Amino acid sequence: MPVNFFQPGCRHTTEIARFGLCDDPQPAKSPAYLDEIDPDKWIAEVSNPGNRAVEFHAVDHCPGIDPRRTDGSAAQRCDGILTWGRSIVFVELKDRARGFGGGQGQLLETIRYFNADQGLGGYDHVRAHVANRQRPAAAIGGAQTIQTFRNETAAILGGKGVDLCLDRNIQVS
Amino acid sequence: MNKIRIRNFGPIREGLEENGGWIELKKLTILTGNQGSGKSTVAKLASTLAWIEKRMVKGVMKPDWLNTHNRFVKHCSYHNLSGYFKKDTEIGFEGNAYRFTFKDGRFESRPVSTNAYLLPKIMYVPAERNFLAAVEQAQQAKYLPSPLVTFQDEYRRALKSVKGTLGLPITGAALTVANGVPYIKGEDYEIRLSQASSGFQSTVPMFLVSHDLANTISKGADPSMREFSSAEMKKLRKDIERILLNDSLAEEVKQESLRVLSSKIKIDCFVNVVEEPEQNLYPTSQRGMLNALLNHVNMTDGNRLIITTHSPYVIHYLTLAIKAKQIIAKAGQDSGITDAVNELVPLDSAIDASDCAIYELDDNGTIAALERYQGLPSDENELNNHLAVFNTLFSQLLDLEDRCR
Repeated sequence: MPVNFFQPGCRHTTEIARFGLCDDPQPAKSPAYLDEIDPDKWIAEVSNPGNRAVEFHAVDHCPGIDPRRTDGSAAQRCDGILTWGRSIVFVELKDRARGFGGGQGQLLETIRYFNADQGLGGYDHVRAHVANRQRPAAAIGGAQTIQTFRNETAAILGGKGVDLCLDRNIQVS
Repeated sequence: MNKIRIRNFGPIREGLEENGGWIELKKLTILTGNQGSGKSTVAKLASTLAWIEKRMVKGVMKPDWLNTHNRFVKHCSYHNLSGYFKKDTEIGFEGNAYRFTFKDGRFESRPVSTNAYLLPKIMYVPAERNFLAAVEQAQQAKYLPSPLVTFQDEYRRALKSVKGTLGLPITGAALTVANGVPYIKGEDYEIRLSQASSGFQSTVPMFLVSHDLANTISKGADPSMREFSSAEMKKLRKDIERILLNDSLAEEVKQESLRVLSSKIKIDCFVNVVEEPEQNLYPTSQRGMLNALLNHVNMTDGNRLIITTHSPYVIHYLTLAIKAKQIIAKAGQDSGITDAVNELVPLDSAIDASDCAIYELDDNGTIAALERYQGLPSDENELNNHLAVFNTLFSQLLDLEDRCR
């Protein structure tokens, strides 16, 4: 049965120019959420200078979003999805990560099932973000990681691959 | 392609653990590693062996001359490598004209087909090059290391070749030379190089010499005469006279003899061995500097660039140059795409993945070739990993802070 990744109970909206995406640290099992007040809690920071209507849909731990692989096991899910206009951003929020490793698997599988169940054809701009809670954090080069992600998502989508951003700053444009 | 194999020499023990120990010296070879891990040792030895091969091809060194009297070891004193030899030192070199081996204290050379050999101008750019820029009249200093003296000669020649202003690959500044004194010229300033920042002082000698030699050779001008001693020049004149004045030779034979003679002296390509090109440079300047060196190595077939580096930026910017080359190949005749690539990476600096090799030297004397993903240098290179180590260490401090609560 197709999965609806935009569950009403996990949907947040805002038009504010600057806000954050948060996820309570393990062992909490609650969905990620949007916060407009406390930058200290933000794992990813979203700049929305045009005050566009932005939606954030929590995915992991959101009731009703439980994609299954063909063998019946649970698929990995990213923490959430940002949308505005014809743009969509898959977001993985990492807690005190040692680098960027590990987030791509959740993003890949979410993109795979989202594309299969809801389709990405309605979006002109698709990208993925891995954001790291830890600050300060050294940025490291990720050409291979980005190239691999682009190749693997191109194989999933049967066309252009998805741009992976290893950056906690998300720009709404 | 040239190759070098080094075991039990200075800080290097096992050397490269794959490919039979052979380090491939490609169009671009990058050596990374900690202080004292042997990066410069590889670069200096590669430079020395290429220089010996060239001397043998030119006929100014007999192929068996180094085989006795410990001459090879003594020859390595130019780069201060003589003390690096051990009882079990093994060195191998495969050039396009000669194959060298050093084992059990014995040096041997064997000629191979010279058809593919291109006579190189070999320039070793030492790490201490900024001394030449910081100290005016540095040529009067005594006891300078031999490679610095050689580099200084080339630098002084290159300074004389500067006409008007020469754009530098960093900060948009330019170089001018007045009465032999180099100046850095910006939009609203002009100062002597000796008074400029350390980044200019390390970059200008390196860039200027590289620029001058790469352009001279690519334009077909021949810098070989610069390196002739008076004795060598005398011998050359005698050789030419012997051919021209020999009435028993047919005109065609004379022309062929002169062509063979010319091939032994005319410089065909440029081997640029650069120590730490990133010295004292801000990341954007490192990018400009690397792109300039890549431009120079791309100018003439057969050119080679060997770099030692501690800079993750150098690896990152090389990755961009490799990716740019891949896209240019895919773009074909689409000038819109190539123009857009040029905005990100100068087209003249793009380089083919198969022309690049990165070697990582560790503190145990071993060397590993960096893996690649679709031609791109792996993210898992040690310089990148050390940036990530900051994150790990900071996390560990946060863990400790948590335990305080």
